Amino acid sequence: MSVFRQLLTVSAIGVSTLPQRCGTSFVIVAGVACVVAVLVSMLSIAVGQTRMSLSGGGRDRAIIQPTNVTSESNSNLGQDQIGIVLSAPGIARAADGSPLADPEFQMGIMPPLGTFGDPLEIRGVGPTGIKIRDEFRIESGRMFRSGVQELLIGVGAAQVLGLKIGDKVLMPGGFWPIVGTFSNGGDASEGVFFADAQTLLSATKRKGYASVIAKLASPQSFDEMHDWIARNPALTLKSERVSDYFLRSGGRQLALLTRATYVIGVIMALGALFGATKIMYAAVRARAREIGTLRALGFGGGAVAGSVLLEAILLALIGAVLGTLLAWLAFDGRVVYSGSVFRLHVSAPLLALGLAWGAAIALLGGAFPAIRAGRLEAAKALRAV
Amino acid sequence: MRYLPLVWAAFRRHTTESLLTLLVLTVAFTLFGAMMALRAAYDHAIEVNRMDRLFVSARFCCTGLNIARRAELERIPGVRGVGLVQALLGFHQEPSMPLGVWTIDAGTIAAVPELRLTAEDWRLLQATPNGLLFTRTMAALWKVKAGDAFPVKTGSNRREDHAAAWPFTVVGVVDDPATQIDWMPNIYANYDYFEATRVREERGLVQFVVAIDNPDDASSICRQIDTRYANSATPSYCEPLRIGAQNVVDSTITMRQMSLGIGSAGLFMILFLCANSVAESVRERLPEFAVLKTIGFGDGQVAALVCLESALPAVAGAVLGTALAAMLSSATSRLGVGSGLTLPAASISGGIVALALGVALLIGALSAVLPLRRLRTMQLAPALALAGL
Repeated sequence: MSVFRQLLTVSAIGVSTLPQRCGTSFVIVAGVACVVAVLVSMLSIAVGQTRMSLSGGGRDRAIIQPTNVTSESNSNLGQDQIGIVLSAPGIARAADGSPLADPEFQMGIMPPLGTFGDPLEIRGVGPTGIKIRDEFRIESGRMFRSGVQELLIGVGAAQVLGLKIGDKVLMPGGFWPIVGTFSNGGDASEGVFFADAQTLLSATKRKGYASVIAKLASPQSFDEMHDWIARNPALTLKSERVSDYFLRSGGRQLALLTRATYVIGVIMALGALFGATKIMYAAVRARAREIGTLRALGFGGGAVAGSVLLEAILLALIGAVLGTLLAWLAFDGRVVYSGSVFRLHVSAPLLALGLAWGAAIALLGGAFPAIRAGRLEAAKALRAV
Repeated sequence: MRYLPLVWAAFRRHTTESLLTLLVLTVAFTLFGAMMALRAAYDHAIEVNRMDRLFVSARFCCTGLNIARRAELERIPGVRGVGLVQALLGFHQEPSMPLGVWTIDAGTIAAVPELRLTAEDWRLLQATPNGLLFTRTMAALWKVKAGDAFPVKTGSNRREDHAAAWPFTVVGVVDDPATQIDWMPNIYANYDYFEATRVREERGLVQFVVAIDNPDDASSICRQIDTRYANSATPSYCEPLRIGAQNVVDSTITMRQMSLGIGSAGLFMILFLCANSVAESVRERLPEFAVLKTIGFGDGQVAALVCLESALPAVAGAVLGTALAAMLSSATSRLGVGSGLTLPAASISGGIVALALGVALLIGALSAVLPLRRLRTMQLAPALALAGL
């Protein structure tokens, strides 16, 4: 009998005895499931946030801000600079030749009187700002009117904050009603309010904008626009793709969280690995008579060792599938707020990572017991029982 | 103590497997200890922000409160002192090196004594109007000493002369605050200098730190302040510092929210392993227990023996694990970077050790439940027959 067939036969015998060892087998399944569930759940945060940054046409749009600011919240962009930047090459043009770029304004508003909380973010956009967002859709209600103190709320923000059409938000100059909800291809703006930029600037008595959002003629034309802005001596501005801006804004904390996830994943995997080794040693001991008999019948040590390893992998993969399924059921699509609103995403590569993590635990954890099983001599094994 | 030789013998029956069980327990309790320490560090970072300090700023963006409101705030019953602070947000050298400078005056130093700034420090800032005071921690972070030039470029804080940078000079390094205070990045400048150089239309606009007598009055005083200015051109937003820190932690996904889940997953993982190990050990040693019962061991004594066998490795794992977690926990302060909160190095407190030991005993007890049921219903004669007796 070939080694491969021996391996299949011995593995089939091993698997058929699993129900008799369901208690011990479950330890491996549960251990790996815990590790993989934690790993995949935590990584779904980073995947969700990255997906949010890259979605909604963020690579087709650029954000232009003063060089001396680190974020839109502390930016102050004057009309003189805006006038020049609108003529930059690489910016898409409308049919009438006007640039598809929108000076925008962003601010935080504090929670209602007598309550405490994080500021809500509001973005002032103009008519062009809506045009350049191809994915922008009014989901319910209507668009705010130009010159009127009205708000649109992103679907993500509405869900997280529990606000709906008709609710009023305390703003400069009084309470502004929410007149509609919008989606924007799942990008970060779904977590904020939109209002008319001019109305917002007038209410806050502010002159400068925060940034210019420009639609690129093509994703490749970014470099042309970027170089023109950088070389123009009349401008003290910088530009980057919107997606890169979002990634950079949340990047530092995201990188730390991802690093912490892998550290925790490795520590938990170490625990599961020791557990799997222990269980597989016990399984080899419990199956000593069976292994001894097989060896006496002529089955090779390699086939026996391989079958032990396969059993460990099978159990670990069941655990990994359970773990990823658990993470997917509990977290995929869940809307969370972490600086911005986004959905957790248990992606296909993440599922594959979970399975690979489980298989690696099994391979390393099952190796020593497999070697012991392969080295068992028939006589000794039968005598030991 | 007299059961210990029996427990030791049981441990040595399958030494490798027993050691592996101990390793799993140690790893799980390392994770549990580290997660609990991390959670405690976040809680500590919130608690050091005082409830009797209120931060009062403009409710809506891009402006400040008129400096004349300071006198009005000081007259509110329960208010002990009012310090003005105005942030200057920007970066030094590279946009990737962001920082905040807080401009203060003598009143701020008097109202917020926990800053540990002295009259001498204030005189330094007066003698060199564009001077900066760094706390020891910040001086080490930015690698500066007295006499160094430290220009700060800003975006929203504009200068009247349209210059992009504020030409600061380090005039001294001062003690760190009594407690780490997150709203104060611990680089201080003279408000009068800032006021004289910033754009004319923004002059006289500031934020306040209000010191109050009784932390229990924080919410009511905040409401009083906000109500007073609700209909003014610039409504205020008042928030106790501790609640502000709590909001910072709650508004982003941090390890704090996940620590309990991760720690519990680790413990869940070992519960099955422990239960399985004890069950297996008892199953294999049924004849041994039958002999013990035959020679006079009561049910209680046998139960005590099994519980001891089950709990001892868990307790040993808890002790080793928390010791390892203590070694790892110094790295956890890095997790606070970027969260908007200064996270102190986590440490394993007595409470965490006690909690780990309690959990270990609970796991030991739960693991022993099913084997004990089996032992109680065990028929002695068949079990002795298995031993050949």
